[in-house]
Amino acid sequence: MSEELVNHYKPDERDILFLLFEQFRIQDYLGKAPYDAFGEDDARMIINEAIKFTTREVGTLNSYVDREGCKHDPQAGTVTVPPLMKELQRKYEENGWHLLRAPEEWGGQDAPHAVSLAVSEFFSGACAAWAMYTGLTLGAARLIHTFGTEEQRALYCPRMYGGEWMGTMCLTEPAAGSEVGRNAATAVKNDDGTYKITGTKIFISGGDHDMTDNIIHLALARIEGAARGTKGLSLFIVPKMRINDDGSVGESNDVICRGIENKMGIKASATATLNFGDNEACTGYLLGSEEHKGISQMFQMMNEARIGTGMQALSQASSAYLNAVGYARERVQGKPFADIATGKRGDSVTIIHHEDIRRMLLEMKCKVEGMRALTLKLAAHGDRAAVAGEGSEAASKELGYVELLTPLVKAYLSDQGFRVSELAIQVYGGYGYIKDYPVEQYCRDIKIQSLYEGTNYIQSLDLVGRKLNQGGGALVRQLAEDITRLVKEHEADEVFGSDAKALGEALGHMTGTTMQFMKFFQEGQHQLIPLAATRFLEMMAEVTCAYLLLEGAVIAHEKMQELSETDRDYSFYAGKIHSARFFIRNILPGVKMKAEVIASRDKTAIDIADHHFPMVGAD
Amino acid sequence: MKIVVTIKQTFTTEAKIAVDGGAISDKGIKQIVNPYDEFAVEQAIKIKESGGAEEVVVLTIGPERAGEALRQCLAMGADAAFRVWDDSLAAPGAWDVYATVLAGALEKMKPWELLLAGWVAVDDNAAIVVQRAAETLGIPQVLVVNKLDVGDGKVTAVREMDGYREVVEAPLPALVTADKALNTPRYPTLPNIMKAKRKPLTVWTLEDIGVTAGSAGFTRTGLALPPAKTGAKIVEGEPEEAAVALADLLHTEAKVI
Ligand SMILES: Cc1cc2nc3c(=O)[nH]c(=O)nc-3n(C[C@H](O)[C@H](O)[C@H](O)COP(=O)(O)OP(=O)(O)OC[C@H]3O[C@@H](n4cnc5c(N)ncnc54)[C@H](O)[C@@H]3O)c2cc1C
Repeated sequence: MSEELVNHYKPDERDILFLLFEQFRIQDYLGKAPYDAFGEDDARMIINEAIKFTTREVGTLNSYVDREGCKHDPQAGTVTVPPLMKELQRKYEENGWHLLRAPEEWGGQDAPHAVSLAVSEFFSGACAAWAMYTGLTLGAARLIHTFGTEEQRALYCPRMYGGEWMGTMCLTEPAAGSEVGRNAATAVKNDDGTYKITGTKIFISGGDHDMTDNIIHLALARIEGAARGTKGLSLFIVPKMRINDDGSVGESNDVICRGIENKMGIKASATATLNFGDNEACTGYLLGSEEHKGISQMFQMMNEARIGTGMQALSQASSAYLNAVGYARERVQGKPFADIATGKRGDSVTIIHHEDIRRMLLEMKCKVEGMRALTLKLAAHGDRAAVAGEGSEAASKELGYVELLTPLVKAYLSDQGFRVSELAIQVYGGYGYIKDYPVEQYCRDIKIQSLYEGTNYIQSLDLVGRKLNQGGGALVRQLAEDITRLVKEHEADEVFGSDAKALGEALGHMTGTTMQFMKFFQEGQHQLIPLAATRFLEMMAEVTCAYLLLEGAVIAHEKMQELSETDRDYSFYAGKIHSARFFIRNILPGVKMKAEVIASRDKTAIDIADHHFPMVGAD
Repeated sequence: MKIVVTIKQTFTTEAKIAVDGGAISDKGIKQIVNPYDEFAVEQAIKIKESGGAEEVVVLTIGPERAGEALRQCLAMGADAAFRVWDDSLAAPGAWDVYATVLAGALEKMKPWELLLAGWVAVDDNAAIVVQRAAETLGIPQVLVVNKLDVGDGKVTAVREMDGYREVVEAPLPALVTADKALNTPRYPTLPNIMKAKRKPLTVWTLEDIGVTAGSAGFTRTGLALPPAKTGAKIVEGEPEEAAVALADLLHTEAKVI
């Protein structure tokens, strides 16, 4: 069944427009350099057309690409993608969507990040596996745009931004997963200034495919004699195919795909094992002109990719949630509990009427909306920094927010996105487990997000080890000040008073926990820090989401006053208020509990010896 | 040759309709270009692309927000847009008034050779306004067209009916209204979305086009949502018996056969 191409992707256009234009008010900076070409009407029309395109042309292929997957030909060392996905890529480029985020210098539109990120939710939500190819290409192209020599920029940027060639990021090796410093790929300088690259990279997304004639790998490798660890790594441009002097594609550059992974989800995204230089004929070009800068250069792409990863999780979770709402409105099963309890013999009802289903739907709703607010807030801060101008004090304050929110967006969205998609299955009951319905695929496709681009633990270390201390704690202080202002404004308020107070208290627990970290450090109890890091990231994300949901609810409440109950927007605004309340009253209380656990200095997980776990090995 | 396409901004057919103060509430409802008008716009652009026309302009009667619909047409490839509005036009369903206004605007936009429009608007299903305007202008009209050729001062159109097809010719200037088999409307490309705002969009008042709207020859006296659907009935039993029972119900209860 369901072999035909049906779109199940449901975009939440209203919530996105709310966040952009009512809550974060991006129209206040649109029209200003560098976004002088973009007005509110442009942004709205772009969103509108992107929804049309994704629901008609992209979402229809999501289960098809999942079924088809990618195929590896071991003889030829090549990978083919589902044919209709190639066709989709062509349509995507024909319609110019690949130009949205590309710099003007290379024919792009250089759209504000808030707009391009909002739009990327539609593309990724409609077909995550496919959207990854263009996302990675954009990241790789931007690396060359930022760090490349003039010749490198002129050769690669127009072709990569223009869609002619795609790109990848190659960090991972069999011995180098989270520990990037164990990279064993080597680079030996040739007489002509190029490098001979040798090594094996694994798990490379988009590492091989037949969508473009060439693939430009950005690969980390260690130049002969360079230091150990990450500081000895350099970043190389390694094309799959050699490039002739006239820019045309030539012979193989000895980058061979040895296989692709058989995975849980994102099946149409080829996860490739790449052998570089098996025949000693792989040429790499140092990105830019400085050696040993690889890791800091790669971090530009990583940061961008981390935000994209969070967005990808959100996009799937949101559609899973909306599909669950749609299903719950149709499925008739069970009589109302109140009828049973009072002995009334009522009719069976649609499941959206059951208390437990409403609990799940509202949990999904408030999490998805909180997560989206977090992401678009991050993007708006980035845009405001660009408008303020590089190097200005205002810009560095805005960028501080971007840095603080990046690990939250990556880790919280991927963890909770997975849980939201799992709840969506629960709402469907047994049907959710069946491939005729879209939610099981969302759940499988989402899971990768907590793993790649640095596992979520790595994100929590970034938060606790780096971001908390940055500028002597300035980033967290800024966040706390903004939250406190909202709390103060509304704690005496009739409508939101108790919720504002609860937010204030949760914030106290969060900032209190940052003090705990200092104490652990001073007391030499170092192991308590990584033990608490993941939990702390969740606390901070929950406090920030609650803050943004409350801020949204206040706006919604004001706007509702001018509307009548039959207006569609009235229902939307009422829904926003319920989201904030549910989150604050049902999820935020967990912050206090986590703070207490962390403060209790419980070390059970450290005290338990290896051999206290069953003595099983990996098979 | 110049082609004028008349379009209408409507709410989406999926939109949940709410009635507020005797009119359909447009608050929070998504507005689109009437889908049949998109076929007309696409056709006009195609004719221009194949060298059959120099200019494509779109025209609508509508309040400020209808500018979004015009902009979509500009982003699809139209060269210029015109919007006529007067607050007196807000009264619902005044098709005869709209036809007068449309004829006035089309008169002012002369010279043009081809007038294209969707055959019907999905919001009121009237299929009357542009047809009446063509009547006023005294030009031939070929309606609900599936295939269209333009050249040698005439249009040649194919109309599909149940079981047969008809080929019709008419001299220019003429009105042709589009059915959905005519073409597949393109999406506005991203670069064209950004370019659209630099294309001219002119707003006219009734005075500008020299028309007194007058009042409609009829008034809407009621507007109500259909009664809520009552529960479906499932006929149980063996297939043969169930089929007989179902036919019986369709005859006696639903009264459809
Ligand atoms: C589908 C897919 C696509 C991918 N795409 C790419 C790509 O395009 N490019 C690329 O370079 N890589 C890619 N990767 C690789 C991915 O980034 C790595 O899998 C990831 O970084 C984790 O590395 P690992 O799998 O070796 O896990 P490990 O590093 O072995 O981690 C195992 C577990 O140990 C934990 N851990 C590791 N170190 C520590 C520590 N110091 N302290 C505490 N806990 C620790 C981890 O959090 C994790 O829970 C992809 C992977 C997959 C599955």
